[in-house]
Order: sequence, then C-alpha cells, then structure tokens
Amino acid sequence: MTSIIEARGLRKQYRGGKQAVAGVDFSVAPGRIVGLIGRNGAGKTTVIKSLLGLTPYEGSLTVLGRNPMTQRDELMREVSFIADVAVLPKWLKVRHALDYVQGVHPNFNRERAEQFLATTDVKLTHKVRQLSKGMVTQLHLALVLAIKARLLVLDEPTLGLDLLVRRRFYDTLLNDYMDEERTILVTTHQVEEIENLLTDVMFIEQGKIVLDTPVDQIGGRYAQLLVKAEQLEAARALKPFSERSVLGRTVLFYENAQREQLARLGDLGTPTIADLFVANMQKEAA
Amino acid sequence: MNRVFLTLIRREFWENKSLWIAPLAMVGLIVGGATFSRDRSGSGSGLSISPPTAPLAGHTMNAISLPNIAVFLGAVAGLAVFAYLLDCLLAERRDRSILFWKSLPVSDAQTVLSKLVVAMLVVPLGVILLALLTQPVVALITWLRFELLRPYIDFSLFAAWPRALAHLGALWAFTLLWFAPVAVYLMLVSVLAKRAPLVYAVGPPLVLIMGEKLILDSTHVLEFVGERIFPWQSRLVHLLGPDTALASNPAARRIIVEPHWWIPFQDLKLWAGLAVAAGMLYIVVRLRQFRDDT
Repeated sequence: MTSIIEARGLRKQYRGGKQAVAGVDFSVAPGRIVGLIGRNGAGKTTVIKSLLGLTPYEGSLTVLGRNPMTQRDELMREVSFIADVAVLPKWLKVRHALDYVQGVHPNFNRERAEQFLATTDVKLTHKVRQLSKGMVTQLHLALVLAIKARLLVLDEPTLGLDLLVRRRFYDTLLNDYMDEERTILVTTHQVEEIENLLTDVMFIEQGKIVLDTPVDQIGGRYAQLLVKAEQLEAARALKPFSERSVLGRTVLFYENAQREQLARLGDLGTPTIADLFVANMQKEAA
Repeated sequence: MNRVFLTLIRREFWENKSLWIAPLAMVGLIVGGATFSRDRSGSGSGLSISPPTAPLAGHTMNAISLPNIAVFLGAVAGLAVFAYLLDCLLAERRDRSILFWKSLPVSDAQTVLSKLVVAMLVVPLGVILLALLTQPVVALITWLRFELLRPYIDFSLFAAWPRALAHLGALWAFTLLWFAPVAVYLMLVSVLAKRAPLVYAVGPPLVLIMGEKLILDSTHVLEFVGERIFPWQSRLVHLLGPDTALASNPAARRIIVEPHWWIPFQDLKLWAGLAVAAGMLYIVVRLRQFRDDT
C-alpha cells in the first residue's frame, strides 16, 4: 500500500541553532486518522509545516508522492489544512471566502459548503471579524468539508474553543468527512479529546518521535498496573517505564510485559492514550 | 486570463478597497466640484475658476482634454497603489492569513504576479476608463453651468479623443514600464519587512544619498533615484506631444512639436530597469515560497 506521507530523516533547525525536528522517520497509510501528540514546543507544528511546504527542511519527505516544498500548489489540490481559528483574514466576507475557494480550487463543491453553513449561524454577508471563534471554525470547516481532498491536516484546530464547539467539530469530521479514501493527521496537546477518534498515534518530544503505533495495538503492547504500597517494590522489579502516584496508590506503566504476572500484583488495565502520553513524557524527562 | 488568476485579482480588491475607492472618490470630487462650485468671478454663474486668461485665449478648456483628468485620477490611484504594494505581502504575514492562502492550490508565483498585475495593469486601466467616463460629464456640467466659458468649450474636440487615447496609452505604457522596478522594489520591501515597510522602503536610498553626499560630495544616487521617480519632462512630451500642459513649458516646446512616442521606448535605462525588476520579482517569489513566516 502506498503511503500518503513518507518521511525519512526529516530534520529542521531554526536560525540560532534550535533543532525543532531531529531527523525523524515515519509514514502514514491511507484511510488512517493519525494523532501527532506532543507538548507545546515539541515540534508538532514544524512537522506539519514541513508536510505542507510552509517551511524548508532537510531529509526526504513526500506527501501524496510529491515534494511539498517545490510542488506545494499541486499538492494542495489534494490536501486540506486547518490551522488554529485565527488564520482566516478578518476583512474577508463569508461569501467572498466561498467565491475565492471556488475560484482557485478544482475540487471544491460550493453547494456542499453552503448547505453546511445553512445549519449554522454564519451568514454569507458576515465578515470574519463579525464572527465568534466558534463560527470562524464552522466557516473553515465548511470550506474544508466541501473540498474533495485525500489528506486533511489539522494543527490544533480547536484551540481556544468551548467544549460544545470542539465536540461538534470532531463529530462533523467523523460523520461528514471521513471515509476509507481519506486520511487525517491531527496535532493537539489535548489528547483526551481525540483519543477515541484515532487509528494511530505518534508522540513527539523535543523533535523526536518517541512512540508511533496503531491505537489497536496499544492494549497488546502496553499495560497499566494500579498497586498498593505493599506491592510496589514487587511491581517495580518488573521494570515499568514510568510510574505516578494517585490517591495513595501507584500506577505503573509497562511495555511488552507478562500480563499474568502483573495481574497478580494489582489492578491491571490498558492505559488511555492520555495516560500513555504522560507516562512517555515522564520517561523522556527521566 | 484563467479563472484562478481572475479570482486572485478579485481577492486583491476585496482586501484593498482603497484601490477602487480612491479614484472613485476623486471622480466624485471632480464632478462635485464642477456641479457645486461657488461663483467667485462675479458672473453670477456659480464659477469657481476664472475664465481662460490671455495666453490661453483661443484654446479650448482643459476640461475636455482627456489626459488632464486621467493624470489627476492617476495621481490619486498612484498613491493608493504605492501603499498597496508596500503592504501586499506583509499584511498576510501580520494577520497570519498566509496560512489560509497557502493552504489552497495557488503557487507563490501566481500570488505575487496577481498583486503586480493589479498594481500595474488593472488599476491603471480602470483609471483610464474612469477618465473616459468622467471627462464628458465634467465638460457637459461646465457647459451647462458656466455660460461665460461656453465659447471655450469646443465639443468637436471629442473627435480628437482617439488620438488623445493613443497618446495616453503610450504615456501609460511607458510610465508603467518605467516604474516597474520601483513597484517590484516596494514588493520586495513588503515581503522582507516585519513592520513599518515605509521606513524600509525610503531608508536605504536616503542613507545612500546622504552617505554619498557626505563622503564623496557627489549626487549620483540622488540623480539616479530622482530620474527613476520623475522621468525627464522631455520623455513625457515625446509621448504626449504639444497638446499637453507640459508643452506650455518653453523648454519642452523646443524639444518637440509632435509626439514621437517610440523615442522614450528606445531608452536603454527603461529596459535595464525592467531586467532589474524581473530579477527582483524572482527574489520576491522565492522569498514567499521558501521563507518561513508562519
């Protein structure tokens, strides 16, 4: 199966020597919903900007078989992108936003965008500066949903939005956008919000991919053990990669451990992506 | 012109309303002035200007001379275009909307070219069109309101418009080509500056001029910049011929009695400027493409 994204030795160093991406390798298969998760400043946005040809990089990178840096305009016929809500210009009228995308994008279905907007409070005569953050997101979503793209890239798309808008955003994406031909790459540091949507997860820390796994393999690979104080030393002897205290008990995280052995020591479970992220970040920091 | 490019041009006018509002406001001022001006000549006809003075007696009123209103509108539009060029590649970075524009299948070359075409072709053509529409209106209003001036308003002069248009076209073509390096220089400043583009545009030439004067006591840079901003009057007279206000200048009269529009186009400085403009345009496109300002 041909990858949608193929990165080999992807590296980005900013002026002043700061290394934002440290020679990472990863690939994304078609039809997947991949979460690129990391803390602020971990390198998520730099990876995204490299994928979209928005910043020069070193290493080998192809997106839909194209070089993002030299073939960005061709690539964008099949890629949609939503950054955070503030990137639609405030002077733009909603009607003009539709006119513009219709004028420049060969795969834009205006009727679909208008149908979606009709379900919101956004009017065609509004200017972006008259819209709330949530309404701007709806407008951007309307534009993106109406584009027949193979890859949708979302960079912290719901930052600063209230819970209802955030929930509706992801529900709409899943119900109205996603199908087996489409791929979504989403970055966020609000892991718990998207963990039920993802098929794959990548953790990034200090420019390095520290975890890259399908979500359905997490249960087989990782285990979370909740133990009381008297079992703690025995549990530690099984070499957890991270642990933390919760209400007088300790949660330990294991990779490729014997589950039967662990089960004898306490409450065994599968960590959520959010737990796994925190555990990985603690491991990296140690 | 394909659909994408046309859309890019429309976009510029949505964002930069001064490009069409400024010339239209000037038209409103001219027509309003002709319509509502107060009489200060004592003729009781509502005249705001004196009748033609002796040297102009026998000449027709400038109100019918096509280049005059075109030059007025052109000056106003020129100021709007100057401000537009300085801001056109900075504004999208300032409000981060560059992330939205670049998320669509439009190349950096198309984007940059569309902005240049708006400044150097679309707005100038609009100004000529506006001048063509405004001129007869002003002439008619003047004729209706100012009885004293009627003898000087010769409507048969409209028959000379095709020739005037040809001269105006030559003037416009020369002016646009001559100012192309200035326009692209302003775009280069716009793509490089992070703020206060006017300072970055004016600063370097000013420093060079003052530095040369202080250190070498010469004025080559000043002359170079001066000539680029104010082409020799002789060039304009070659283009417009003796029917212009410029031709009333005795020095200009000596140069030419009939337009020789091709002479200014033979100027090597014109073509050297265009080569420089092409080079700078390439740099502007590459900077927008490869510089990470997001």
